[in-house]
Amino acid sequence: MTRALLRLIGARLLLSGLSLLAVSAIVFAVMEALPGDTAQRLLGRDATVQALAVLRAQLHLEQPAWARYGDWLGGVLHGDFGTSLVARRPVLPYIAGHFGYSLLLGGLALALHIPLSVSLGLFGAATRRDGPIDATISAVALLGMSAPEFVIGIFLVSILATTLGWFPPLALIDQAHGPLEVARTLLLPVLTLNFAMTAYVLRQTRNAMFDVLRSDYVRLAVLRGLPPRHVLLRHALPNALAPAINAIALNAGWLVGGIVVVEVVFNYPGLGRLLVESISFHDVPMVLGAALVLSATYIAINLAADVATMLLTPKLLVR
Amino acid sequence: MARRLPRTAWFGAAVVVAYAVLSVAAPWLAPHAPDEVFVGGTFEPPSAEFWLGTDNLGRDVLSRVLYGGRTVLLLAGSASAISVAVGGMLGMFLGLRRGVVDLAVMRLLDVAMSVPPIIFALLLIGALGPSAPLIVLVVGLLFVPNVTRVMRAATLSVAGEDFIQAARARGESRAAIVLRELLPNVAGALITEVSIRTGFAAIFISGLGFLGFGPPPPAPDWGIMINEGRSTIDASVWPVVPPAVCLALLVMSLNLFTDGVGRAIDRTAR
Amino acid sequence: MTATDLVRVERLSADYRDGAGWRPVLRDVSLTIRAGEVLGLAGESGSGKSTLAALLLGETMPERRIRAGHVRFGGIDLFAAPRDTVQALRGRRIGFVPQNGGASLTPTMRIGGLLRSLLRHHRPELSSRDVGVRAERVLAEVGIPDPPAALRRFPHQFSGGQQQRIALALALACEPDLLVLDEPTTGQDALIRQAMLALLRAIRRERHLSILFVTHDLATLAQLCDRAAVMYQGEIVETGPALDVIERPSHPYTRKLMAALPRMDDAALADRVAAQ
Repeated sequence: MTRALLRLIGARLLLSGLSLLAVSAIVFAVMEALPGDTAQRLLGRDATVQALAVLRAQLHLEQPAWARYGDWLGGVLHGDFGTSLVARRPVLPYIAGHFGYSLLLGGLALALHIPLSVSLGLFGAATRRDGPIDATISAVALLGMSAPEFVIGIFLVSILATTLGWFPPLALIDQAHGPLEVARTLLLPVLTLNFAMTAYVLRQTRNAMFDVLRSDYVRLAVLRGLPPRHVLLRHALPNALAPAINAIALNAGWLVGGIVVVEVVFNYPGLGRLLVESISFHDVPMVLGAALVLSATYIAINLAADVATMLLTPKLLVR
Repeated sequence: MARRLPRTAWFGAAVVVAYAVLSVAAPWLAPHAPDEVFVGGTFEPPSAEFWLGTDNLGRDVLSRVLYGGRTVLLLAGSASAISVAVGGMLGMFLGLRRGVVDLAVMRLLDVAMSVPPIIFALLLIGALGPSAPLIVLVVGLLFVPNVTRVMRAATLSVAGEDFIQAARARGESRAAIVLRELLPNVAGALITEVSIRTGFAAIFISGLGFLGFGPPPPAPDWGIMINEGRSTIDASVWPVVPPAVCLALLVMSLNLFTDGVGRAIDRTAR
Repeated sequence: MTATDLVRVERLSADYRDGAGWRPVLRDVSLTIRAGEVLGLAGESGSGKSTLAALLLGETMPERRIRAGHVRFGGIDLFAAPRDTVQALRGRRIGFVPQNGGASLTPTMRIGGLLRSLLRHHRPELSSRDVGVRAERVLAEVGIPDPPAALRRFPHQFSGGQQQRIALALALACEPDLLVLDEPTTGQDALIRQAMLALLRAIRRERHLSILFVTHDLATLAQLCDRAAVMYQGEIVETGPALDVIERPSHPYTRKLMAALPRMDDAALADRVAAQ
């Protein structure tokens, strides 16, 4: 790893940190600092005077916005995310627990997504362009990309769970014991997420592979007498992977948002569902904490994606 | 370029146009009002009077789907228009201007894109209350960074240094450069963006509706319909399936059209 | 049709698929290359010379088909023999240097990796030390400075001219009997072309191999080639000793071609004529 590369990564890290700071300010501003009466806004027009007073006290609304932001940020940096207005308990343990569940679901979804979409993409590239197999794969992928996740989720549930009874309709993971049951509980949400994600990576991989298979260096590798498997593995594949990995990284980023919807469909105790519920209940500290953690994850994933792309490009590695 | 569009793209475009026509004609085509309740007729299967059956409150599904199409196209279309208009102008401006302004704005956009879009939308709508104009504005602005990036890249690839200098040498104002020289060349990217963003917006907005953050009732938004119908899907699939199918079909058609345009551009570029 | 014919192309006709139908690219082409001889193949763009060069390696692609005729290398019919046989010839007994050498180098592989995998595949009996020695030697032969360091580098770290030489090295690494070069110096400045020419003459002297040189550079035809063949719209319109074709062309197209080609190195040409 050259110094130039380290400097590039360092710069990206710095930028990511600043982004996270900016995001924290944006999130805070939206919830607590928009013009108008915050308490009134959060509780709606029918709020009682009592409820408004209570919320104002809890949110320390007598202080100016930037002071509140400073307080909150300071607390966050010390691991204190405040107290939930609904549960009247510290926010951080709640978020941590739910985040863990989201990581599990997201991780499993990616673990299936990467090999599935890349191999389908490569397979599609191996067949004749726009031939019957290629077209079928593309069509199914297109459908997955077009139908919203909640639609796919609902259909999967109604067919596989409700009608056929193969899988549970709700991902009540708290009640699942042992890895096999966990797998069975999570299969439908994981499939739902994969339906939505596969298309993009599949197409990028397939297109990249098409281009690579038609490249001069692959043609010459064959004309130099190298065996086909060697050409595929050492000459073609590494060059097709960079766009594929880039696409996977973009999907991983999307996953942070897409998982919110899927968690709601399957009633899964993840951070996304917690966020949605907290917003409905106007549980401001919880909302701030959950949004911040999710954004941090998003930023981290994007950073990892950039670094991975950099590592895969020899032009950037060695001058 | 139109001649090179594959058949699937024409099919996609045709479907989208059909949707638009049906939506505009909804008030005349729909047999009933979308929120008219037929007492005692909940979860009716399709019949001569209710072609797609009734939902959990006894409302005609077909009428709700038709009016829902209006909502989707109107909201998604407007959001897409906003993002392409703002993002397109910004992108073209940055692509022509370059320099410090370009760098600064791109960094700002990078930061703006650090918030997962759904979360940002949920926060804003949760804080300010769901309303159709707010939803359109939020979704439209959320896509601006992406569109800006694409249009800036398109502008950069079309307008080299010489291009701009030559135009300036002819004494053209910047506005004229944009209108007469640049637009025709980036038109392909622009059209593609409109199509992509409309599809994304449709999915996004119905997703918001599904989560309960959609336009307030009684607007028959497809996402809301799907959400309302899913808990009672055992009683009747009819409140859920038609809006879901219509939504998927709309987005798929938009995607087909986008693909086709993308391929046609590729071929003309080669 | 003598016993020392290394390559025999017999009435070869080939088509390209374009749009709906097949368009002919080679029409009834016949030529021979003897062992140790250098044949220059001249013609304008679109004459089919690159296609002919590729077919000398038995290259197949879905958009191209052989309609009639044969290509024989050392007696083996390249389009009738089993694929394995043809694959075994490529890189081992026939070396190919493309027009864009740099693009023919896999971007994600180091030069050493490419050379070594080639040697290991075609010459499995060599020890890994021998492989390394040969890799360095062939790089030195084509004029790449500091071969041990070069082996560790990636293609993008070399200049265009050097990349072309590396492509040549790859073609020579396994000691082929035939070297096929497809316009390797087209588009490069005169100095580079002269250097490449000198290099090829040295290689020809050292290695005694046959060469098919696709070119439209007159200096190359004059200085390097024993015989020349001229192609026009998929047909061979004239063949003969290189100097004859250049100085006394008989076919009207050849006359036009020779008149149009840049005569940059008349001094060298004059020398050659005088030496005859």
